[in-house]
Amino acid sequence: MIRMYAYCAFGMDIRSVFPLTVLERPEGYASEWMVEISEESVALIPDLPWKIGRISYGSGLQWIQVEVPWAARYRIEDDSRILVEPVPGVAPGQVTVYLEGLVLPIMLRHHPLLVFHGSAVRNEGGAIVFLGTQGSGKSTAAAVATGFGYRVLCDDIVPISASAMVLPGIPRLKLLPDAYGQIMGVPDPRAFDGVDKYRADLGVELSPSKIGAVVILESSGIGALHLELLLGREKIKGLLPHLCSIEGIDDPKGQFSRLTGYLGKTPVFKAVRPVEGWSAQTNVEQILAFIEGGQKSWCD
Amino acid sequence: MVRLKKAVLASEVDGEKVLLDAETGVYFGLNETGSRILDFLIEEGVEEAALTRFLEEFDAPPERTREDFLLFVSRLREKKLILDEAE
Repeated sequence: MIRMYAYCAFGMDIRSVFPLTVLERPEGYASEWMVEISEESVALIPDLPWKIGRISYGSGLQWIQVEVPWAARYRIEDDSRILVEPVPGVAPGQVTVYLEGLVLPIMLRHHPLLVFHGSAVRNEGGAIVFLGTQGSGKSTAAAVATGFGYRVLCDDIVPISASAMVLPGIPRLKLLPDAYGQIMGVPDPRAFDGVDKYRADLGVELSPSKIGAVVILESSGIGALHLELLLGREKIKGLLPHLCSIEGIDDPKGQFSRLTGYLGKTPVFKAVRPVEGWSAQTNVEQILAFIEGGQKSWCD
Repeated sequence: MVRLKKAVLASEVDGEKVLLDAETGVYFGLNETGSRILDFLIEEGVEEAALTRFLEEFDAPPERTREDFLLFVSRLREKKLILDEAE
């Protein structure tokens, strides 16, 4: 008898033979999007056309295949099945890392979604999406926001639907040790993700939420936090670098149409914080107050 | 005939027309006046007809308006956002 684990992520109801680190499916969780992850033999497709480093991938009408030579061969069929053939002797954690971080996000491409790298939180006023480059403080901002009544919708991958709803992704934050220490206290070794961060469960939200605002986090040599509403071309230019775009699978024209269509009316703010001498707690509180106040520009 | 290059996508965001040249990945933002000129060019397909509509719509000295129109259209051509095609 093969043990099946039950999880929820990205609005999917997942049954998997592989243990994952995403949230276990809570009692009463309902989703129409059922996904089954099974261990099976996956036929080699030589010369998959696209590459991300040493990872190769390709797609057909109803399938996408991903080859991670040191972990596993993954085949996505329709939007409901993932077949996995692990490399013999590979540590289970390696198979899981690519399932969660690459294969499940790729599977989102079966639906007409906008997919960003970022974090998202929500309260009764709607969802706030934090975007930014690596190390800009997206997860930290989401963690701090939970102290102001927000709940976590997504970390790392943020899917947004045509009706400008932020879908719940993986609502489990991953924080660097210093941020974890500031917000959660002494890091718990059991929360270590095996790479460089600690998982923090803070006010999980599993229902989609209408997007209220997007905040693009940046840092510079300025002396104080600066906030600005982006409009028109500046808005699109600001959002674009943070889209998860996979060459060969994502169509730039489709992404542009979705970006302008889904988020054309959403307020997008740029928040520039000083490189040094800043406090995540204070800055996030200021950002939230600014958004909730509906201002257009502000400097501390 | 004047037309938008096939690789160029246009969309309205915050009252500003945003153009993406999908071949180059470059974005352009047009203000309200630029947006109207582009609309007229695409709708009429002929530069002179577009200029006539532009002059009718904008209550400004015709000579200056004409200069602004021609300068803007030359910039659209320079950026290869519009193409001239034989009918």
